[in-house]
Amino acid sequence: MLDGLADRMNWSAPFDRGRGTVRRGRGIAIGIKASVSPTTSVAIVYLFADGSCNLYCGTVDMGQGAVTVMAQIAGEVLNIPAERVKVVHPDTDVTPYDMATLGSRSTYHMGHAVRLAAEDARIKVQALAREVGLPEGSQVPLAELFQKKYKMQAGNIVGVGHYIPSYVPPDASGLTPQATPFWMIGGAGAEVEVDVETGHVVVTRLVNVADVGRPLNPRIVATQLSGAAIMQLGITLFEKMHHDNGQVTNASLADYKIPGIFDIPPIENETVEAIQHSGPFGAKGAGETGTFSVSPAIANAIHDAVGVRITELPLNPEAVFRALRAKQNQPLEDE
Amino acid sequence: MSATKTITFTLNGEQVTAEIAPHHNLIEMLQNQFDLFGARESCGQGICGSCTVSVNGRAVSGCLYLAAFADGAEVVTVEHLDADGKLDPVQGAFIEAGGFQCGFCTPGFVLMSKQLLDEQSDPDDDQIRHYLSGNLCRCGAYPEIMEAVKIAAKKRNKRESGI
Ligand code: FES
Ligand code: FES
Repeated sequence: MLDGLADRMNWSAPFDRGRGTVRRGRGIAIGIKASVSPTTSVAIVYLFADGSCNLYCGTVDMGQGAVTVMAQIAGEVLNIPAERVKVVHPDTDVTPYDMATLGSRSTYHMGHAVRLAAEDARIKVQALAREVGLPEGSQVPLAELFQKKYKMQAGNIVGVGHYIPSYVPPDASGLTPQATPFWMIGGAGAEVEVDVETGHVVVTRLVNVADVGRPLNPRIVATQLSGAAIMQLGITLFEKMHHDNGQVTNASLADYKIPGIFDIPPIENETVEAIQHSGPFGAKGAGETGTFSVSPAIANAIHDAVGVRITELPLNPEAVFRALRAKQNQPLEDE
Repeated sequence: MSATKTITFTLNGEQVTAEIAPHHNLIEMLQNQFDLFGARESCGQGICGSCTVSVNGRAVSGCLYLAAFADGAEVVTVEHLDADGKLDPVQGAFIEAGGFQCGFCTPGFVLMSKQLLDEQSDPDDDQIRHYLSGNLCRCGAYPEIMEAVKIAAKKRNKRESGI
């Protein structure tokens, strides 16, 4: 991952340090995080008499693309195109238990549950084929199998899968050999310009490198990494909640600035080649990975540019300017 | 009860009437009386653009636009873009580029991009940014959105030149 970052950042090439009041710097960072553990996911695959397929799973697709990836997994096991898998959205009336959609756990945990449910269904399809007298490995469409058995378009097959990762709770000293089913690893590199007169920071380049195991849908993963990094960019540079006696006093988009289209630096996303051997089809979670390293990479770049080390977010002009003044032994007075 | 008023206007190509109170904004009217949820109120302050609606050919922030002003106007919402059974090139381009994650902001971006391309058939990056600076995307799909606008421009220019 470090190699990927260094490569993309042209780390060994000479770097323009800026001049006058605008100083340039660059930084990298790497972050590691466990996925929440232990948790359970359950999925049900339902095959209908006409051969169509429903997938009942409680993962909430809020834009991360879970529906697509779960359909891909079921489709892969059942050997049907992903678009023929109808994913039934979370509804406690019909979808089975899932711990939650959080902690970058869905592709891994629900992915396994979906895989197992589809495998369960596939075994039942094979049994049905044997039952109607077909030789092993015959590729007769499911609708015809049902037709052969019921003499009409009837019947169904239900496959159920659940996944509980192995987990060992920490001992008295807080140690465990198995804290999490998988680790997320994310790195970022940033180039910045710092205006030493105003404390203003402009990120001129942002590179994200991530280990997501094998990305099941590379396009979606790239968008996820990029979106996560952009959200983190906002938290890094300007998002700050103000409170007064427990009441948020800037709870509006007028007072709480989130990144707009002018705030977005040229951004590159890369996944390193890796396989999570314990994951479904080699995959693991990617939801948070793009967020880990953006803040420290930018803070490192600011340090590189103007020599101030800031350890609190956001790195807004005021924070940077205060740090610059403190470094010159002329600290600004607090209001 | 506040006094209501009957207004008549064209909505997505059809003549319609609505009963509105003076304080209703366009979004409330579209959602409550016409079941149109494409334009959504998010900030309610004219900052995010997720409530974008086209009135007499101009994109407006539906959260700040009083429904009463729609009287006699031509109102078009995102739901109308595929009225001929085909997605608008801008919609197609957003899908091609993956210009969204949750999709909440998308109708606003689509309508603004369409208006941009009506005015400027081949915008450069800066023009796109400038035009879309009033639209916020919490999912941070901006790079993909930039890409989508460029794809849409190509699609439209191809269509125009009849190739
Ligand atoms: S809801 Fe109208 S601009 Fe945000
Ligand atoms: S796609 Fe989620 S806010 Fe833009």
